[in-house]
Amino acid sequence: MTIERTSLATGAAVLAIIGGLWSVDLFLARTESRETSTEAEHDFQNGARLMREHQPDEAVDEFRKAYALDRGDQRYALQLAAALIAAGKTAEAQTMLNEILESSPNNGDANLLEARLMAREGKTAEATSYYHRAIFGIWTVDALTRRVQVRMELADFLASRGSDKELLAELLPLETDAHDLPTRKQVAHLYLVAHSPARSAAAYRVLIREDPKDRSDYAGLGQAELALGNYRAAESAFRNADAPDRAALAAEMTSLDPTPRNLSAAEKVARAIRILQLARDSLARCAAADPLVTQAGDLLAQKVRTPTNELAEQRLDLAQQLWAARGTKCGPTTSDEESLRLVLSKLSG
Amino acid sequence: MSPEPSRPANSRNLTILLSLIVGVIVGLVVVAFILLTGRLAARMYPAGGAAWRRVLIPTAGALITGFLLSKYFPNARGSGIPQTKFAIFINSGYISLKTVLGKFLCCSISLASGMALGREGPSVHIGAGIASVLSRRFGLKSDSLKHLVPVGCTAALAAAFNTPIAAVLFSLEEILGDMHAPVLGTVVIASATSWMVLHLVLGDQPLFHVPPYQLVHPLEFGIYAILGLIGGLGSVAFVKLLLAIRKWFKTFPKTSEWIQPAAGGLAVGLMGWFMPQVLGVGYDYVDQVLSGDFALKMVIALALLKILATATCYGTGNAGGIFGPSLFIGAMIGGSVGSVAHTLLPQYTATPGAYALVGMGAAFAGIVRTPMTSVIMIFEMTRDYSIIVPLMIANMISFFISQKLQHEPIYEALALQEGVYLPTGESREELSGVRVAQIMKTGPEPFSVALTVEAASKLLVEMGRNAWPVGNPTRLHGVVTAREIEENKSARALRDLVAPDAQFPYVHPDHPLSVALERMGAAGVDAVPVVSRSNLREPYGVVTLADVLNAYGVQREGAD
Repeated sequence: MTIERTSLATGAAVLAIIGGLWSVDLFLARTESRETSTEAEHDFQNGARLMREHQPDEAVDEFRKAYALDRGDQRYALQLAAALIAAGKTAEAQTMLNEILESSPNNGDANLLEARLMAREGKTAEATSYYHRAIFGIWTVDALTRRVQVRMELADFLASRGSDKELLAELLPLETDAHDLPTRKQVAHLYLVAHSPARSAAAYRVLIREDPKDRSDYAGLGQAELALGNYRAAESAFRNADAPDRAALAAEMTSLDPTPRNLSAAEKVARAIRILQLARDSLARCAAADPLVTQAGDLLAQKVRTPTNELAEQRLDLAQQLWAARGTKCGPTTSDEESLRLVLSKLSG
Repeated sequence: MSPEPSRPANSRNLTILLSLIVGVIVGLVVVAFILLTGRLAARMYPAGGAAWRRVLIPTAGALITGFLLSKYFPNARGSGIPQTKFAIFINSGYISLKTVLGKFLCCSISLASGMALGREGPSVHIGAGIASVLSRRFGLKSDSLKHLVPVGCTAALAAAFNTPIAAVLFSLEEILGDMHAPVLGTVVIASATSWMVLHLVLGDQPLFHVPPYQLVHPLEFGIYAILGLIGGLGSVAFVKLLLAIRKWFKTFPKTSEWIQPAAGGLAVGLMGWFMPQVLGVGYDYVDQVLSGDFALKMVIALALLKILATATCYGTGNAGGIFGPSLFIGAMIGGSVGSVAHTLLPQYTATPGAYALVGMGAAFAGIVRTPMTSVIMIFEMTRDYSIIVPLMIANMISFFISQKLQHEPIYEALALQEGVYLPTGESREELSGVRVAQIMKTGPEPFSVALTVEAASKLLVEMGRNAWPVGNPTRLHGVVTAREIEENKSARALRDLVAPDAQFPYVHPDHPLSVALERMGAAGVDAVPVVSRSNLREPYGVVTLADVLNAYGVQREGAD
């Protein structure tokens, strides 16, 4: 009986000790958690401020402290990775991102940062892949807007790499999903970059219908019409955009364009001669001794008694050869040559 | 007579139950200890605090602990590992509650004030003490008490390092010095229990956050070997410096003992004035180095300063361990080697963080001299298998160099300074190298079963033995003891005392001498037959207590 009582008393004492210690541990653990969270948040805010002030190296230190204190908060890890990328510490950023993606492979932010890292390193295919993972990944806040933003960023990246088809593939869903004005304007612009002027013009027309007073949309429409070869429509749009120089260019294009169907043969030949003169002058400025220049001079010296479409085509062919030679022998085109560039581009396209 | 002595079933059950209780309580106490020191340190050194705090606080902390250690808790000084071994091997597992409380209090103050010492060694002492106190409360005898103390050590280390397997290995490799110790089952239980407690309270957070590594090129094995070499030399330098400072401070009058720790506090404070990373355990900075974010000059300076700071803090008699500082020093050495290698051969080497990680293991193996624990501990910390081979290379080289240049392992050397000769894992290995086959006598024949009891008694007296095998040269019946003869005087011949199938104590030729000693002790005899492993009745010879003692270099008075 006494032994049983002693055992019970000892057991109760052990349980009481465990209970007491458990309470102390929980209290200390909560205190630590609270204090470290506060300190980490403070460091995180400092880091965010430094990032806004374009001091990524200093921001890295602050984010690193925050992350060391509270590894449970993924914001700290993501911002640290972002700051590391901004500070040029890509190897460490890569390690950091691998760690995050290993635990959360569908994290939108992490995939976006990884995409930026890949883009920075010139790995287009990998970057595109991570951008897509980011677009279809998990976003905890305002997912729709973030996805549109990421796709827009991908579109800009593809535009910068000259990947027209891929760019077009991103712009089509963007046109449907994007509802904010700056993104829609950017989409309309990028259609032009993606060599889809008809879609660009259509997008600008929608924007103009919604806000007829926005001159930038008219300017965009003018560019799209120029690219389409609708010079009269471009001239009109540029006038609405209050862009007299561009309107003048469009007017010049109208007078230079040899492609309209209703042109008489004489008018077509006259325009072809004008284009040939401009092309010859352009090449002669940097390669006067080129045989094509002489050939063009000879052709220009010939009198055209009976204008025909064949004669016009002969001159336009030579003009295109001159322009091609100019492209290899001279530097980039000047603004004076833009009308010639556009018309020859239309002819070759 | 049972050949394999075993404890009664209810005693085993109580030991298992106590192992669970010890695991839970030690886990909770160690978690409290870690959290408390962490929170106190955060208050001592708030973010953006003035530089003078880094000089004043360690000095004041050391003064307070120096007074407490000298006046109230003399056994709470130092790391705690040698003290735990004293308790097991000399004091029959006894550690007082006062020592446990003193260790907790003094180490909390010492570590929070920024002394460059670790929390793991003290945790082990506290864990061992709790196990000792609890075992006594449950009425365990000294033999069982000795079995429970390593259980407490393991539970403490599992919670302090978050490495349950390494904790088990450490207890066997360092504390007990025997990888085949019979307490294996209970230490595993306590380790798992304590680790679970840690996870319940603090969650699954490893001690260090290590990015994944991979071996970039086979050339790296060579660089890891160089790291092992430098780590070994650094370890030896650290141990020799620490022992020299400790020895020097022990030459001062005993009356100055209370103020001696303050010298360590002031020294580390002055170092901390210029380099705050030297203060405290420094795991935050280790984490930073592991992630590869450091400057080469800085890590070299920190490796040197930490060696000096920890040696001074420990040598002046402060309370705190050397596990943590070992890892810190190793990380800095590894970071330095890795940084140089990565600068020279960027295409062929991993980031410096990988070397810092391996450096931690190398320094631990060199300083604490537990290479297996070191490998498993780093593996558990990283949970990355790819680091294992480089780690083993560096660890073994560091361990070998340390063994060559510093014969006594640090804890044994510290114990020696106290005038205590502890058995070491290495010494046990040496002894276990001598086998029964090397010393057994094959000439003497067993007593015949037909021999009269009186004749047997006379022969035993003439031989100076209290027991001898019975049977014939090809088959043993058993062992007869002087006591059995004394108690059965009515018997005529030995066949009346020893049945043909009697149980008897024996050893095999390949047994280490320690087994022969243990079996003689358990059976209370001074001679046991050496028998075949395939047939226990087939005798090879006899081994006597005198032979064993002779082999150990101990001459027993009156022995032949």
